[in-house]
Amino acid sequence: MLRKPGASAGVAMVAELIVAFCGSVCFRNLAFAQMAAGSITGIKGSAQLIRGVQTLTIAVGTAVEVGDKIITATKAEATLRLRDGSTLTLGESSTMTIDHIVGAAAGAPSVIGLLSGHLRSAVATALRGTIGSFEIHTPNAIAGVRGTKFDTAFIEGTPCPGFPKCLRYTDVGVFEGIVEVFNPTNPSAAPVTVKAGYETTVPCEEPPSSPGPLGIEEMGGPGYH
Amino acid sequence: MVPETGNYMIGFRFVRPAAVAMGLCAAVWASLLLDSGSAQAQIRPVGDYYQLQTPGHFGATLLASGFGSDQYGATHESVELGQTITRTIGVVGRIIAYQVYNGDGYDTPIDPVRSGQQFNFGRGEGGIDLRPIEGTTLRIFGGHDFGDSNAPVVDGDFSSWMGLHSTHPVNVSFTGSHYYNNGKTGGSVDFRAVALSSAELLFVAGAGGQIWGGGQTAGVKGEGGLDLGALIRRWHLEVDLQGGYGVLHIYGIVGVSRHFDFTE
Repeated sequence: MLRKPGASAGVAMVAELIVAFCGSVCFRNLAFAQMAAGSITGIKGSAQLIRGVQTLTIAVGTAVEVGDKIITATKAEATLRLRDGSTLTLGESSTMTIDHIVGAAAGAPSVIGLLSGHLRSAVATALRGTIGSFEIHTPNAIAGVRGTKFDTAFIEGTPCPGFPKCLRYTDVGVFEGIVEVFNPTNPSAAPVTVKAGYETTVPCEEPPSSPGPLGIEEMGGPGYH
Repeated sequence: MVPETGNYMIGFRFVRPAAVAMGLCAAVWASLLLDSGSAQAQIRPVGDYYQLQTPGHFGATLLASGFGSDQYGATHESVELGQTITRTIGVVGRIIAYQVYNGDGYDTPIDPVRSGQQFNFGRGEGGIDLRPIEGTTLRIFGGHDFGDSNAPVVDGDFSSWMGLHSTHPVNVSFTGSHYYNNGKTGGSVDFRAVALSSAELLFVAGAGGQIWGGGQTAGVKGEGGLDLGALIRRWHLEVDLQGGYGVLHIYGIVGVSRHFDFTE
């Protein structure tokens, strides 16, 4: 049975359009997923980079892309310089993801996910002073940067000091500039602004604590006693 | 020579009011902690009391200190080592070298009737380090002197921060020692508040003093003055100063300590 030529051409045209649309979307997603985010500039010990189903061993110069996950081993440390000029140092036994990078989409911030462990961030000068230009996301906190050097640690499986029943918490300590911290799992809680020399803790679904001096427990009574 | 029983009796008579005073201070401090309006300023137990801490922490502290006044002069140097067991319990040990140049102060176990020369002695101590509440430590030591002082010694120190999650937390610390060599008991109290915290420096200021008595010391003696302290974060280096007035007239104390921490 013969088809009508007109109907066949119409089906083909629709099919081509669908293929073209899908191809365009898929290509864009592929391009996004493979977008260069930066490269490894320092490594101590061993660390792995997970890209899709691939697992790569990290070395100085290894390119890092948006969507990559970096995992450090015990007593290891990896330093990454992002395309936006920021520097990230991932501490031992830690996991981070490169979720987004400035420039990938208009107006969107660089977003780094910290799934476990400790991350030190030195944000690029160009991003400083721009609220929401650089963010560290942990499972229970978002640290938004106005330009700074700061540490983020996400600890899981250990009681949070002061909240013995809470077994996952985030510490954010600021060395330079200002960081705004809030708990995305508790939208009604007000964010806390942390200035240089201070730190805050975000326990489970609780709001961030009021900032206290960095590492104050290192000091107690006068040393001469 | 005063019989040992006499020494103990005099020491005991002094220890009782001192213990009562320390207890009252601790009670006042506890009530301040409990009565703080903000939930974030209240006592915050650390939790996980009996589970072994992993990874553990091994710490070492080096200290050099000197006391000077026109009636008493002494210096001491120490090495202290600490090992965590759980998050709230640790063990600690230290070796201290003391030099007493002249006179009789709050921290000397030398019998004051021995005078006119420099005394040197060492002290080895071990004890327990308890951290039951966030920002609070209690350490109790027992040990022995050797050299110009040669007898057992018991020491304790307590430190607690109030308002840890505030701009200007306040610390109170007590120390207490009993020297079996001369029957003396001495102690110190310091109140210090964070005046400045930056990325590089933590600066505290307040007031403190020492009291002592027992043994050959007639009555209870004391001194007090201003406290200043600074922690240089980068080097984990702490510098503490106290200057004031008391039975030894104008005096000054300086201490410099450096802390090292190792994660296992």
